[in-house]
Amino acid sequence: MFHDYHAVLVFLIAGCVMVCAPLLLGALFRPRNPYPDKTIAYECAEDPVGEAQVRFDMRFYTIALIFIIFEVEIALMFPWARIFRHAADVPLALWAGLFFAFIVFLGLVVDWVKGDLDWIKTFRNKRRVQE
Amino acid sequence: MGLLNNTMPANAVTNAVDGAVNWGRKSSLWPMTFGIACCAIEMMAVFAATYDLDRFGAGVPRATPRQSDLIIVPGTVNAKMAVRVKRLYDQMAEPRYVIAMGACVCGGGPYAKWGYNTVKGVHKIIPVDIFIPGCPPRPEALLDGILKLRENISRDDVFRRRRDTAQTLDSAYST
Amino acid sequence: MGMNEREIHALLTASGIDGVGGLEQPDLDPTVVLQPSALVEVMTLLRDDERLAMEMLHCVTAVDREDRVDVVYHVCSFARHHALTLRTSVAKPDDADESWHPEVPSVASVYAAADWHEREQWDLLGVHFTGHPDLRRLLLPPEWIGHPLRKDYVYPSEHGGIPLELDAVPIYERDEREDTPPVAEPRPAGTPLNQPPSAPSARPHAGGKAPAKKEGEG
Repeated sequence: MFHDYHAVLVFLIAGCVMVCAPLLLGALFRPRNPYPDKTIAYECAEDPVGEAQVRFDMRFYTIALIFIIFEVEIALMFPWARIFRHAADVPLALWAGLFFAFIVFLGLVVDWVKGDLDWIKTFRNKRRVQE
Repeated sequence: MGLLNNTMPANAVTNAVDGAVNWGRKSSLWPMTFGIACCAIEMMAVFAATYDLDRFGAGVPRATPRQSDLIIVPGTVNAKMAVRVKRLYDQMAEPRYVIAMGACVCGGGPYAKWGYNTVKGVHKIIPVDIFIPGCPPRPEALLDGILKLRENISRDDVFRRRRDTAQTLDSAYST
Repeated sequence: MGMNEREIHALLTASGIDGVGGLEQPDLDPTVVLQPSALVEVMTLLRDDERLAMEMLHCVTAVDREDRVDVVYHVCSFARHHALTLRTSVAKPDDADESWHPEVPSVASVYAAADWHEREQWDLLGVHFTGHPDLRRLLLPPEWIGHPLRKDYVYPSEHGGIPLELDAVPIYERDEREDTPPVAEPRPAGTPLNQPPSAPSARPHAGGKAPAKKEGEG
C-alpha cells in the first residue's frame, strides 16, 4: 500500500542518523570535565547575582497573538485570490472576500486604539482601577 | 575526559587521526577578547589589520569563555583581577590553552620585587602553555607565541596515550 | 602670568587665618605649610578669592616620613595662570603602628576632586580624613588589611587564596599534560643564559648521544 513511499522512509532514517551520529560521537570523544567553578553561570567572571530565569515580558505574547490572527487571515485570503477568476458570481466573491477582510480590519483598529500595538505603553491607555 | 581519549597506542592510524584532530584544533584557535593592561594594546594590534591574526584562523575573538579555545592574558594581574582570571579560565571548555603575554604575566615584571598587590606571574593561578616576555612584547612576538602554540598543539596526543614528557623536552631542546 | 608663590603666600598670611605657616623651599619647590585646623578655611579662600581663583585641586598625596605624615595638596588656577603647593603634617606618636591613623580635615566639601584623592590616601597610607562623605578603599580590594605605602608595611604572602609572593607555589593541580617544564628549576653555574635550565648541557642526555652545543651564541 505504501510502496511508493519507500524512498521517503529511507530519507527519514538517513536524516535521523545524520543528526544523531555526530551528536553521539561527539559525546563519546569530546573531553568531559565538569567541576563547580566551571558550571556556574558566566557573568564576566563576577559572582552571579540575581535569578537565572528572567520574567518573560508579556508584550511578546501579545504581539505574537496579534500576528497569528493576521497570519491566518492572509492564509485564508490566498485560496480566495486563486479561485477568484473562476468564480461563478464575481461581485459576490469580491464583496464576500472584502467583507471578511473588513471584519478582521475592525479587529486591527480596536487593537490599535486600545494600545495593544504600542511597545511603550502610555498612561493614557492604562486601565485604572480607581479613578 | 572523553571515552577514547589517550587510550590508544601510537600507530599509523592513530597518528593520522591525531594529526587531523590537532590540525583542526590549531587552525581555529578562537581567542577570548580579554585585555587587562598595556599588553592588551599590542594584542589589539595583532587582532587588527597590520599584524592580522585572522590568517592563522584565530581571528574570531569571542567575548565569552564558553566559546573560546585560547585565553591570552595580557597585562598585570592584581589580586582583585586574579580571582576573575581564574574563574574565566575555569569557565572555558576543554581543550583550552593559555598564553601569558608580557613581563608582568610571566613573572611579575616590574612589580616582581615591590608589588604588594600583584600576582608574580599568572602561572601561579592557571596553567600556562606559552610565555611571551616583553614589556610590551611586539605584535610580532605575540604572533610568534601563537605559532609556537600551534606547533605544541600539533604534537598533542588526543587518542594516543601520552608520551613520556622528559623525552619530549629533550627532543625539543636538543638539535 | 599670575602671582608667584611668595605673593600668594603673602596674601594667605595677610588674610588672618590661624595656622598658616611659612613658605618652605621658596627657591626650589615653594610649599606653604599649614596646620590641619586651617586647612578647610585656606582651601575655601584659595577657591573663592578673586585674585587667587584656584578652581582646580589636581592632587592630594600623603608622605610617610620618619617623624610625621605629610599631606600635600596641589591647587592651580586656569584663569590666573598660577599654582600652589600646600602641606599639612601630623606628627607620629612614638608608639605609632599599623593601627594609628593620622587625622586631617577633609576638603571634599571645598573641592569635589578631593573625594577620591582622599579615598586613595586612606587606602594606601591610612590617613583618616575627618568629615569625608564616604571614606573607604578605592584601589585595593575592600577586604584588604593594612596600608601598603607605609614604610613599616609587611607584604602579605597571599590574599583571598591568590598567592602574591615571587616564589609561591601554583595553586592549581597540574594535569598530566606536562608540556611546560616544572617551576623553578635551579640553573647550574656555567649554563649559558641562552639555554633553558633543563638544557642538555645541564643534565645527562637521555638518548646517550653527545648533544650538539651551539657555542658563541648570545
